[in-house]
Amino acid sequence: MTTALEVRNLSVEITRHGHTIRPVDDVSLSVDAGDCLGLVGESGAGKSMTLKAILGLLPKGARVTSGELLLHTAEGTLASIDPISVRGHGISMVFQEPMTALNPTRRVVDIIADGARAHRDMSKSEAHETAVRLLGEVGVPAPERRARAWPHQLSGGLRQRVMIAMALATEPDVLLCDEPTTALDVTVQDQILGLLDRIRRERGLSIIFVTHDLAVIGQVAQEVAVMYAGRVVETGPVRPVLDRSLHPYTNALVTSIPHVDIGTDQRLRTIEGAPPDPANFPPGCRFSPRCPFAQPDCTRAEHVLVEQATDHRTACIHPEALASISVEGSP
Amino acid sequence: MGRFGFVLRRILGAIPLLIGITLFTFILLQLVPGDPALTLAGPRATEERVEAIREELGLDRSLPAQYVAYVGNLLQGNLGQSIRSKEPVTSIIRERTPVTVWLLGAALILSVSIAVPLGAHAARHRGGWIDHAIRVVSTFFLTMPPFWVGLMLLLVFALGAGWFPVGGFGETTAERLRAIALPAFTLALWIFPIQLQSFRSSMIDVDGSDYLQAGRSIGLEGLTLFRRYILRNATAAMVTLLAVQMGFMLFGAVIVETTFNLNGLGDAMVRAVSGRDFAVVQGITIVFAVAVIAINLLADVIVAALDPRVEIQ
Repeated sequence: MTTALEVRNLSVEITRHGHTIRPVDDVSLSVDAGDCLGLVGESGAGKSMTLKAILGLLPKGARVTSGELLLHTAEGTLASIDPISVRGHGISMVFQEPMTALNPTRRVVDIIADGARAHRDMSKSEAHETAVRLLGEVGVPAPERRARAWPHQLSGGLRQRVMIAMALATEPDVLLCDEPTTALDVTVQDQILGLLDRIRRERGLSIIFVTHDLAVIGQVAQEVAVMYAGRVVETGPVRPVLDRSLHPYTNALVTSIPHVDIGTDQRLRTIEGAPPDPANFPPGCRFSPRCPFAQPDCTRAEHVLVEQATDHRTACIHPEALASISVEGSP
Repeated sequence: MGRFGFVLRRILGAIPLLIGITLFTFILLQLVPGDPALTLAGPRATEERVEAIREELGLDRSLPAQYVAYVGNLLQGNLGQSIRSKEPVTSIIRERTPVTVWLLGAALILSVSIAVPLGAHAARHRGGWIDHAIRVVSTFFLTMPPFWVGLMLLLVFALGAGWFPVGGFGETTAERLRAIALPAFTLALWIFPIQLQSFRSSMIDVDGSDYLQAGRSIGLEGLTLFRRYILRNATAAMVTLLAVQMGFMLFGAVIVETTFNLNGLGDAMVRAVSGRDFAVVQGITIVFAVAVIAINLLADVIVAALDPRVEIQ
């Protein structure tokens, strides 16, 4: 498998009122050509920030303090690139809120045509034809008519399809999806996930899919990276990571997925405590204060991802504790 | 059909407003102390002379009759005649309108040229010292009364430096521009601070928007990004504000024209009020009201064209 995109040792810092926090701390990710990498974690884990850093779209005050971005080239090698230069060339992004991510004063067709014209010379009418064709491809009914619409005239689901068409118009190799289905209702969510999966296969596209929803990851991703408090704590192929988690945090996320057959007298399972404040991360393993398996040496643990099974890496220094529990303790 | 219908409906909607304005100005002038017939006749006039003037002006008739006569004349484009100069009010208005239009036009252009770049700059550096400095300066001008600013500008640039005439209008365009410069600047300094703050917050809204990030994410930048993603989204609020400010600007014109001795509508208004020349006061009030209504209508149409989310049905 060739690597389509690799992020090496990315750190993002924010300085406000003299205090510096690091919401993304030494994050490395890679996604293979034609694959979907799921990036999971709670709010504030640094998932969106990581995606935005890849395109140089960090909010005011946030900056990349270290890291390298490598993109697969036509020559078959990985080349180091600058985030801003990949906009409209190679990498594009689908945003979380289709209600606010489309320019309200621009017609759908022009929004998409802008993307088509951004990366290559194309006449206005060619760009329009491309836009209408893309609307059809992403499943917008009556694309010629819808092309003339303003964003506010479309439903949330249609807007997200337009957003995907806009991202595809730049003919990217890698699509970054920032919780693209969170704002949509469940049936529409399913359709959009199906659409993303289809275009990934048809176009050989690589996707990095950010979500807090593990069920969604199981549906769309081949690989998964779990983030906690600014760091990647576990990576690997999707089934092993979800079924045989090697990090207590991943395990806790998996066991807190509510099941339909839960009794009405049972409480939903949650993770004790709250995610740590980025201004005051705990020492060693950042999950240790909330971890039911924590041992004294966890607070001194160095953050290293160690391969425990084929391609399955964890930062937990006591993965055996979790393994024994899940064998004996499964209900 | 949509847009045409929208404009037509707005024009029809303005009619009750206009009727209200004629009624209001008519009643207001009845409430003002002082008898125009007495004023006109002078202190030594006989009782008969005052009665004769009253009859001549139709002041002896009942109030509703006076109002109906007034509106009837108005519909024929007849605003009556000045009690003082006997001149038709329409010709006074026609003569003085260009001065006020020049003044307001120049003030509008000047104020927007100050507010837009400074507002954009403040938004870009929000929270920084430039932002604070711009806010302090604009608040200062907002609190300065235009007659005082006008006098200061007169003292420094007209009397002192001699760059501009002390008062009056001109014949050629160059003369007019020179004559209008200080009064227009005075007005502009008074109205630009609110425009600046409005544009600053519009720019901040657009700057923090998801759609701007999305535009950037597909590689749009520089002038293209500004034209397609920022300009239209940031100006709609400004257009509405400018229309609202027209009312203030007409009030400002009354002050500034008096300060700079410009023979515009504002100056005519002041003279007519002090001379109890109520036909002129009514005429100018109606012109001002129609102007404000028309400009707000125009602004609605422009905003509807700029922002497709504004419903025009």
